[in-house]
Amino acid sequence: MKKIIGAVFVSGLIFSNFAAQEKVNLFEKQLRQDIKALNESIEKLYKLHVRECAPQDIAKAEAYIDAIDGLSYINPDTGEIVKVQVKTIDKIIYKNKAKKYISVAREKVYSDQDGDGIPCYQEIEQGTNPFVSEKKVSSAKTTEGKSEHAVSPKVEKTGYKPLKLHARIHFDFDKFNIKRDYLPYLNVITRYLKAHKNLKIKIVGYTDSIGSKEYNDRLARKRAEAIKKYLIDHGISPDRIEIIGKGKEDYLFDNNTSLNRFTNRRAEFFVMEPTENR
Amino acid sequence: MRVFLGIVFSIFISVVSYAETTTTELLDEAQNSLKAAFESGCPSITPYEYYKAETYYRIAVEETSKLNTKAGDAAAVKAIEWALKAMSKRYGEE
Repeated sequence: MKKIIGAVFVSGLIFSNFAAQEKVNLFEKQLRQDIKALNESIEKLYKLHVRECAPQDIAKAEAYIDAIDGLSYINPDTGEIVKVQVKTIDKIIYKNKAKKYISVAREKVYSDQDGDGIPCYQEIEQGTNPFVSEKKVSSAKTTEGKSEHAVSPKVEKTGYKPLKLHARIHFDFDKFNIKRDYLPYLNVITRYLKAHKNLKIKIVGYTDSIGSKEYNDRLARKRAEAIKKYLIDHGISPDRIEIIGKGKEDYLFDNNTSLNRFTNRRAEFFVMEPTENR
Repeated sequence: MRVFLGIVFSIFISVVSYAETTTTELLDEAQNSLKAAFESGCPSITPYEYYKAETYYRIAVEETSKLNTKAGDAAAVKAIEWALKAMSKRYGEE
């Protein structure tokens, strides 16, 4: 009798151990699935320029996911790579925190942070600064009153009607070739100019603050010329195109960061209707 | 007795000097690295790296407070690494 009770007791213990093991495995399985889902969300956000729009939140989310997955580091004393696991309760806490920061980052990516009506990720794709409104920049520029914009309204009053179209493209450092990403914009302008034969276009090239004035003046002119050549190649008459190289002038933003410098390296288009053609 | 105390004291000193880096030392170092990065303007210039370092530091503090010192050490080392990355990126670009 004692042997039977003992055998039942031992088998019960073994069975309960297996059940507990099964529970742990189920939890681990669920956690792994959650981490996978979170990593996929982060990958999607990276395609929407989350590093530029919400660097703070995505960094926090990534750190917490790393902690759930196990913290790998080089031990300063032994020099070996060690992977340390956190406790189960901490994994749950960190998972929730990671979820929270991913949600915040996603919201920032899709939100219009500077109030100009364009979501952050689109502004990055266009090459504009997502944290400063374009409207504010242009109004600040007009109030400064010493740049080309102070002169151009006069031109518009005497020779041209108000602008029909205003666009701009950006260039890599020390380059004047047109980036492939901007070709659709140029094609839109080309089609517009072909459809409205009376319109003229003024192209103004700019650079960032790096380099000498003479070099940047030449580079700015080359940028404007590259666009002029593109428009001529696509059937626009050279008589309708006016180019100006402004060089190191009229910065849209300060030149302290690479993103700001990229925004300053640009060519602006002003599609205008001359009043004499009316 | 003096000889015995001398031997005990010298053993204590040698053990302390050969001991591994402690969690407290790592946490202090992580905090100092973060402070240096903060004072260099990393939160605005290299926010990704800086906030990653800061989050690892928070994890390190939390894990150490729960007596999981191994995880605390790991997170503190990561915090130091990311704070240094933030600093090097900040000065490398300028």
